[in-house]
Formats: sequence, C-alpha cells, structure tokens
Amino acid sequence: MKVWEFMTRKIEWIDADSSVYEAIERMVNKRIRSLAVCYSDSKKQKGVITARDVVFRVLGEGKDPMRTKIREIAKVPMICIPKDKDMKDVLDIMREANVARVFVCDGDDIVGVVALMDVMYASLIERVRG
Amino acid sequence: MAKEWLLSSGILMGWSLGANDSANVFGTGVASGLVGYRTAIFVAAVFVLLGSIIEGEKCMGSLGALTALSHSEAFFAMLSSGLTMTIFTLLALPASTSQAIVGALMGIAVYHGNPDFSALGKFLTCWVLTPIGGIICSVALYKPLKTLVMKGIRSPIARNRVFLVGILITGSYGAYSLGSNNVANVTGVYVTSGLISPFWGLLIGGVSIAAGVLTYSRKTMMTVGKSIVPLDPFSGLLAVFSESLVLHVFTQVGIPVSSSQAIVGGVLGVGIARDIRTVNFRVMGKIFCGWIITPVISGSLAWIAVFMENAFKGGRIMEWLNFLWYRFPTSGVETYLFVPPLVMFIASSITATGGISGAFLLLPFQVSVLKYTSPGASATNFIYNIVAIPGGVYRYIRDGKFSWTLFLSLMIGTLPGVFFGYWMRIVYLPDPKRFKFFVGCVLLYLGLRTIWSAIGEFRTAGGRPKQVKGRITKENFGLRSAVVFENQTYVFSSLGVMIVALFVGVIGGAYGIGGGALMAPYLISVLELPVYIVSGAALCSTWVTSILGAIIYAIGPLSGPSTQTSPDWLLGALFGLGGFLGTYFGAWLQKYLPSSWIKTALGIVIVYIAIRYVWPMISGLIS
Amino acid sequence: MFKRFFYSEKNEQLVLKEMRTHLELLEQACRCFVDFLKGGDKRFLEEIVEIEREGDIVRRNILSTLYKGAFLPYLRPNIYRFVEIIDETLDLLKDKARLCEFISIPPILLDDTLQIAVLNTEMVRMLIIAFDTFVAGDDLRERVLAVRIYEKRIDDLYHDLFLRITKVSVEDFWQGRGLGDFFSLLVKLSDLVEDAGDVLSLLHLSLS
Repeated sequence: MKVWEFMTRKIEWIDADSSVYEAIERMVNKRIRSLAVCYSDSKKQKGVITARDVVFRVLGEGKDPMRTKIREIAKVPMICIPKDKDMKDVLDIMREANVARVFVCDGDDIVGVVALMDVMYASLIERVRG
Repeated sequence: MAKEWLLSSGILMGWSLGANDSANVFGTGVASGLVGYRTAIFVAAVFVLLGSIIEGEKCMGSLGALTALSHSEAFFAMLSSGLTMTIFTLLALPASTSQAIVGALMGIAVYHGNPDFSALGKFLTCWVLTPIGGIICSVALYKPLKTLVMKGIRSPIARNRVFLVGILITGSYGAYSLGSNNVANVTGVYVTSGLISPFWGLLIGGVSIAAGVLTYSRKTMMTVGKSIVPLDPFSGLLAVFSESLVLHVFTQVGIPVSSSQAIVGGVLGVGIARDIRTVNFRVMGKIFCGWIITPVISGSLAWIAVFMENAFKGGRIMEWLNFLWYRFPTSGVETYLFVPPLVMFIASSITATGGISGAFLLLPFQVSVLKYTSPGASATNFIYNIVAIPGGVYRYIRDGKFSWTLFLSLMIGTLPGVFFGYWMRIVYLPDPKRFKFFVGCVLLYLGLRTIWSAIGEFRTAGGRPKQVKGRITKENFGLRSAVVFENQTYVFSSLGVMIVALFVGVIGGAYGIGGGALMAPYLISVLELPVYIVSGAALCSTWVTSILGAIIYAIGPLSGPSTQTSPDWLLGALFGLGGFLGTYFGAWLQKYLPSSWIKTALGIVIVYIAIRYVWPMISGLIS
Repeated sequence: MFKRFFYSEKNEQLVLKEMRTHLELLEQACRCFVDFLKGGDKRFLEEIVEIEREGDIVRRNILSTLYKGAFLPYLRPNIYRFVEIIDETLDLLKDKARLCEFISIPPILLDDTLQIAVLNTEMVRMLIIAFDTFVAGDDLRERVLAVRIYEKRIDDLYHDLFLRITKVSVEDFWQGRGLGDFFSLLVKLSDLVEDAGDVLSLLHLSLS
C-alpha cells in the first residue's frame, strides 16, 4: 500500500517564532500530539514540535512556556517520506529516527502525515486485501 | 366378556406418553424453527413405531421380574400410574412414566406380600444414571463434535445443511430410542400378565405412543422446546443426541427410563461444556423428588386399587354394606341407600353441564334399573324436582332475573295441564310398555334438540353463555305482558304462553317433570325472549308445578292403593339430594369442560335410550 | 414435506450469489460518486440512480428466495437485515446523487469530500472481502475490523470537516440545507456499511 493512500491530510502548522504556550494551546484544542513548524525567514526549512519536546525540554526544566519560542525546541529538519513510497518504508524511517510520526512530501510540499497507528491500520487492511 | 378393554388404560398411558415425550426429541427442532411441526410428528411417529417393534422387547422382561400379575391387576397398575402422571402433570412436575409404573408394580407386589426390593435396586440405579449419563455424553462429545463440525464444514451453505439434516437424524434416532425404551411402559405389564402376546404388545404400545405424537404434541413441543434452551442449533442437536444415546443404552440394559430426565442431563452437559448455566437447581430438585415421590404415590394408588378389587370380588365389601341395603316401602324398590343420591349426583352434574335437567334421566333410571314402572315413578320424579331445584330458583330471584309475569303465565297454563297429564298417566299409560314409548318420544325430542344445540355451538365456536349483569326493573301483566330488563322492554303474549304451557304441562304431568325444559325453546326461539329471563321463570314454574304434581299424584281422585300412584317420598328425596349437589358441581365443572362436547355426548346417550324405549312398540306395530 | 432436506442447496446458493451482486452494485455506485466528485460529470449521478433501481430488483429476488425456504428459519432474520442495510445504503447514495444535482460543493471542502467518498468505496470493498470470507466459512473478525478502521477514519475526517463547514457561506436557505443534508448522508453511509459488517459477523457466529 502506498503512503498517500492512508496518510492523514490534516496538518497543523505553527510559526517558529510563536511561543510554546501557543503550541500547547493548539495541541489541547485539536487533541493532537505534534505540530509542523514553519519558519518565516526560510521557506525551505521545516521542523516538528511534539508534546514530548514540550514536556521534557520546557515544562520539565522549569522554563516559562510563554517566554520560550518554538524555534528553541523544534526538531529540524522534519523527517519526510515521498508520498508514493510504500507503507513499509515508513516503518524503517520511524525505527531509524525513533519517531512516531512521519510527514509525507510531494517534492517540497508537505501533503500529509503518517502516524504509528496509521501504519498498524494499513498493515491490517493490507492483510485483508490479501 | 372379552378382556381386551383392560388394555384401555395402557393405551391411554401410551397416548399421553407420546404427547408429552415426543417434545424431548423434536421440541428443540420445532421450537427453534429447524423442522416443521408436521414433518417432526410424522418422522417421530414412524421412528417410535420402528423402535418399539425392533427393539422394544428388550425392556419388556424387566418389568415382569418385579411381580407376577393377573390381568386385572395389570389394568390397575396402568390405571394408577396413569392417574399419578395426571396428578404430576397438573402440578407441573416432571414425572416419568417408567417410575410411575415401577411404583405401581411394587404396590401390587406389596399387596401380595412378596415385594422383591432387590430388583428395584437395578431400576433405581438406572434412573439415577439417566441424567448423569446425559451429562457425561454431552460433555464428552461437545468438544470433539464441535471441532469436527467447525473444522470440517466451513461454508455457510454446508453448515446450514448439516444442522438441518442433523436435527432430523438425531430426532429420528431419539424417537427410535424412545419407542424402544418406553414401549414396555405402555404394554409391558399386559405382556407379563399374559393378556397379549409380546408382538401385539409392541405393536399396540408403539401405535398408541405414535398416536399421542400425532394428535396432541404441539403444545408440549413448543413449551418444552423453548424451555430447554435451544441456545444454538449445535447445542440443541447434541443434547438430543445424548438423550437418545442414553435411552438406547438403557434399552440394551433392559430398563425403561425417563426421556425427560435424559434430555435435562443432555442440556446440562452442554451447559457444563460451554461453561454456562442452562438448568437451575429447582429442576434438579424436582427430578430428585420424582425418583422417590412418583413410585410412592403410584404404588399406593395401585395398592388401593387392587385391595378394592379383591374386596369387591370376595364380596367382603358387600357384606359390610349390607346394613345399607334398604327396601323402600312405598315403591317396593330395593337398593343400597347411597345408590340414589350417588347416581343422581353423577347424572345431574353431567346434565347440568349440558344445560338440561337431571329429571329427564331419572325416569329411565327408575324404570329400567330399579324396575319401578307404576305411576308412582312419575310422582317420585316430582319429588326429585322439589328437592333438587330450590337452590337454582333462589339464585335467579337473588340476582333479579326472575320474571313473575312470565312465571304467572306459565303456571296458569301448566297447572291444568299437569292434572290432565296425571289423568292420562293413570288411565292410558299404566302399562310399562306404552309408558316407555311415551318416555322414549319425549327423550327423543330432547336428545335431538341437545345435539342440535351442540352443533350450533360448534358452528359459532362460542358455546358458553355469557353471564349477563342486570336486573328486571318493571313488569306488566295482561293479555300482552311486558318485562323491562336493563331499560329494554320485552313483550310477549300471555295467552300464547298459557296455551303452549298447557300442552307441555300434560306431557310434564305424565312424565314427572315440570316442563320448564320443554317450554324454554318455545319461549326463546319463537317469542324471542332472552335466555336469562326465561331460565328463572321456567325453573321456578317447574318447581311449583312439581310440588302440585306430587300432591295431585298423592291424593288425586284417581289415586288409590291398587294403582300405586303415590310418590315414594324418601326415594325421591334421596334422588333430589344427589341432584341438588350435582347441579352445583356441574356448574363448577362447566368452567373446565367445553359444553359443546358434553352436549353432543349427552344427546347421543339420550337418543340411544329413547330409541331403545320406542323400538319395542314400533317393531310390535310392524310385525 | 421433506423437500427442504433434499434439494434446497440451489436456493441458498442463489441467495449468496445475489447478495454478492448486491454488494458489487453498491461498490459500483460508490465509484460512480467518486468519479463525479473528481470531474463533476453529472452523467455519473444518473448512473447511480440506475444502479439503485437494479439493486432493488436484486433485493426483491433475495427476499423471495428466502421466503421460498432458503436457509434455516433462525438465520433468515439476519440475512434479511443484511440485505435491508445494503439496500438502505444504496438508497442513501441515490439521495446523495439527487442532492448533488442542484447543490455545488464548496471548493474548500471538495478535497475532504472526495477523500471521504474514496474511503467509503474502499470500505465497501472491505465489506465485499469480508462477505467472501463468510461464504468461504473462514473467520472474518479481521475483515470486519478493517471495515471498522475505515469507519473510524471517515468519522475523524468528518469531524474535522464539520468544524469547517460553519465557515462556508451559502447563498440561500435551500442551498444551505441541501449542503447540510449532503454531508450528513456522506457520513451516514459509512455507519451503515459498518452495521452491515456487524450483521455479517453475527451471521457467521450463528452458524457455529
């Protein structure tokens, strides 16, 4: 099964210069665990911020989320996979980079995201299709 | 007399066994819709018959080993076990025929003083092993068979087929086992007592069970089938199979056991294998009680029956009862004092259920059985009415359903009629032969009318008259009388009623009845008066007429010692006592018996008596 | 009396075959809808209406065969139910197609709508696979789970869509109402297909 078949198209972007608090608010409201980060100074650069980063690197260290910028903790570069790759390749990337979410790109554009659960679903459907 | 009638109790038992126990083999299938009812009973009947003929003999001997029986004792054994089964069925307890019969046989053995309790041990062991065997079979077969079916047959079409054919095969096997195991219950004792040959025993037993299956098994199939939890087709199938296997095994052992208990074991076993609760402890308790109580009750009944039979045969009871032997002085009738009330109690409880007066049957009884043919018999009939009726009259007056205008019209017509009847009876009908012809004619009319009304009830499918509430509020007496009942006015011609009542009075006076029963059809169908107004007035006029009739017969101008016209007061009163109680009992009985059937039977009996009375005269005329 | 026990297999096979045809029609209708969303060609909508009519015929055929005595009586209710659900789904697609003839889907929602439609088609495909598994007599738990996964995905998508739908401005009441109806039908379809999957597993269970 190809990646684009089973990816989630909905991606939440946040500007790298926003505060971490804004990121937290967004995560809580949308009930998601990670956000894509865009940089206003560089079109090409993209990053990711996850709940894990927020907890360990901001709240855990006693920093004020209001004053901390996303830029400081975001992971760069974003880990991507081309949209016509196979679902199985996603798994390798996840294992290598030790992440639970892989973004899907079409050239330079980000078109979706594949989470660990999606991989599980996809493999099950794959099995059923036989 | 041929002794074949002794088989009747066994055949009845077989019929009820078939009606009840076929549910154990096809109940699950029919209740869950796997097999059609007609298919089920047909297959069950065929295989029950096959089972009983092919293997039924294996169980026959074991019952014989319990005790030696005379022919009539065999009859009583079956009768008392049948009675026990009925009692248990009414109490909704799962009784087993096998246990009832063994109990009855032991009861008879005890009477003879040679009970062999060692043979009983074998039976008891098998009874206990029946449900246990069912459990073991189910538990042992559940896993292997399930795996076989689930692994071996995958497609839904094939499984569908497996269950469909499976239920038919296990059902057939179950019916076969049932026949082979239980036919001994039906006719075993007759074969043992030498009344019939083993082959006829098997055939008659098998046929009677099959008849029960074919005619009366629908209800039990539905209730039993649904109550023994047809969880899923496979479990139901296995439970029936275990039951059949257990029955078949015990056929080889030669002991008849209970199919109901075997299937309870089978269902319980499935429950254990699937780890669910299918049968509650109350059912288990009931089964346990059945092992003990069933044989005890049926044994006691059999003991009593055989004791009574021997007492009668040996004349011992007759000796005891001799002091009750009485010669009625007026009529010269000789009988036991308890016979008249007893006869009329039974007769009038039946006739009351069919809606006619017991007095009609009393006269033939006096004439033919007691040989009391003189005019005094008619008078004694009146005495019967005097004693038996007041209860009914009182009820109508209390409920406000007594119309005195109608009563008056009836009385005015009837009284002179009764006198003419009295005159006719003594002048024209003192000869028994002629009198019988007259009685026959009246009975013929009555019998045909009873049958006719029964047919009407069959057609309307209703039968029982509704209890009407309301009272008579206003009445006017005149040439045209009016009765107001619940704001509705009924008008009738008093003169017409009187004229008809005059004719009826003549017949009633000669016969010894008040004529109410003969009047009623005219009032209801010709004058279109409602039943509830007519009944009270008719009954009351019968009563008053009877009093006057009795007086006329006693002191009338034609009466004298030579003609024997005076009523036998004591005999009449005894009859009346029985009639009085019988009427009440009949009214109670009516709630439980369909009056249409009673009327049909009663009508046929009355017509039969009528023809026997009328025929000698007609045949005399012909020749 | 015994006819049922000897030659009934033909009826049962016919029922299963027609059920499969019914499902295929449903899939075909779903594909038509996807094609319509992709190109906006209204001929596809007419085709959906045609397919729905055909589905009615198939359904009637199944019901009459069942009535003639195919399958054990205690299985029939669930078969009836399955067929009714598929029929209802086809009905729903038809209604959706009729709606599409006069509403226009707002461009910002078009992408998500298309995705839901595609997932619906995939879901029906899964149901067909599950049905084939049922006919073969194999365990279909996994297949029904796959159907449920699609349902969950569609539900998530719809939830998201629903939040955005409020931002769409409509020209008049009927446009707005038609749009609302359209989206509720869109998501109801997956509910129905999920129900069908559940009934299928119930059927499988009642045969074991």
